[in-house]
Amino acid sequence: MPEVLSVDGSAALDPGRWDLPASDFVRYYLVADRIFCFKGVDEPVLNLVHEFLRGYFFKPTNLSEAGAPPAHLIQLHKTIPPALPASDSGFEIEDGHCYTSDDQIVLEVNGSTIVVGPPEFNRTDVWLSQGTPVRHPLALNNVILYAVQAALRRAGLYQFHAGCVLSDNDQRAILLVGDSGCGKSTLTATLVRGGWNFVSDDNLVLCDSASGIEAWALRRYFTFDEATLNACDLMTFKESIGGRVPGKTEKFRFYAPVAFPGKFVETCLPGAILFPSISSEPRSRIEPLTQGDALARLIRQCPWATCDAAAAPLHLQVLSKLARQTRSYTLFASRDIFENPASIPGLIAQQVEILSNPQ
Amino acid sequence: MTNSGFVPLEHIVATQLDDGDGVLVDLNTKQYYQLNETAMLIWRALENGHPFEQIVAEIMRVYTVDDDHAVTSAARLLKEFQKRKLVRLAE
Repeated sequence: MPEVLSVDGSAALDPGRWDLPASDFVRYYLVADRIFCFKGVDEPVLNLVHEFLRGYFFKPTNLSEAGAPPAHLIQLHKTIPPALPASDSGFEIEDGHCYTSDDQIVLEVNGSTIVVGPPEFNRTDVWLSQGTPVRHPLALNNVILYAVQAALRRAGLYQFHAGCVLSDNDQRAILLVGDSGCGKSTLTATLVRGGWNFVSDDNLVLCDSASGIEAWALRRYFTFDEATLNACDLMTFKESIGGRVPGKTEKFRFYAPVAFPGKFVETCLPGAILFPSISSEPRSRIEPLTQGDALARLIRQCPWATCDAAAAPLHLQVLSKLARQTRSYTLFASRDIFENPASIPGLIAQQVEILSNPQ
Repeated sequence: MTNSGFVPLEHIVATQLDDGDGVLVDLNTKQYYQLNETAMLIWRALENGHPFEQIVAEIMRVYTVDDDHAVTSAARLLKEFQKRKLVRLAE
């Protein structure tokens, strides 16, 4: 076992010093202007990761092109992982458990182990278990996803579940934020169908920049069930509909850049947030929210903002800046806008102020 | 009284918004609290180690309230912070 991080915070590694010999088993990816390095023990492991990352805006690059050192290293191991903490610290996560300490976290996911090192180490170690792939079709993907999300956080990129669209006239975007089933994907697709530029239906990263809080597209495709594809009149773009989503057979992939060429925007500055909520009222309406209420809702949408202690202060600061940079509203979405999607842009134009100046 | 008697706990992250309101997040319990402008003013004073008398004076300077009202408000808020384990007794 070449390197073992202990879980109590001490580690057999030096901060910021990675052993990266010239090797075929190292690959670099660019995400939101930051470079991530994946180091594997063999080609098949790196290919596995590469296949997973193809669904996301992880662009293969090399250090000489990128012109900057990597922000974070993800080291993949096939050896025996370090022992999990004996304590009952932490909490359950989907497919596993998260053990926490002040500066690092250990995740046990589908039998594999992920150690997210202290912030000054800028590295995440993943021990892939041979037993993981047999657990369920998405088991390995989930391991990689947890590791990638943690690496992004350590590099100041915070994954955020929201739809994001940009009108042709505005320099600032609207985020659509809410739990699954609140209608955000349908609203996003409807606005894109109506001519808005799109950034993402559900998967972004947020980061702090000199211009303000930026939103970057993370996933390359939308996911819809057949009924939504029909409701949003997207079935007409047959060439854009990919296969079913692995492990979620009721969902289809939809490649919006194929359906709406020239309408994709990879990054933007949000100027407004809509929190959609399905309503039984006869007509849809929009109500403004205070910054405090908006921030509380944003925190609820980002469980890692409070669970990854080392990243939490900066993560919360980004959410707070986002709340200050935007106007926030609850959209009580009734049947009228789903029966007449063309009414949505008008409703937004009348009642939503999109802040255009940095706060 | 030479100080307020309390200091914020290390695992509480505070953020202030444009209207003066704020949010506290307890990283241990994962609970968060929305604070109004007055509560946020008192929290910031605790972060700065201000004595109780200075907190009261600050409340009276910002709001049109008398001394009794300011003392009662500050004491009630401090008790609430303590009850929710957001602060500890100063050493």
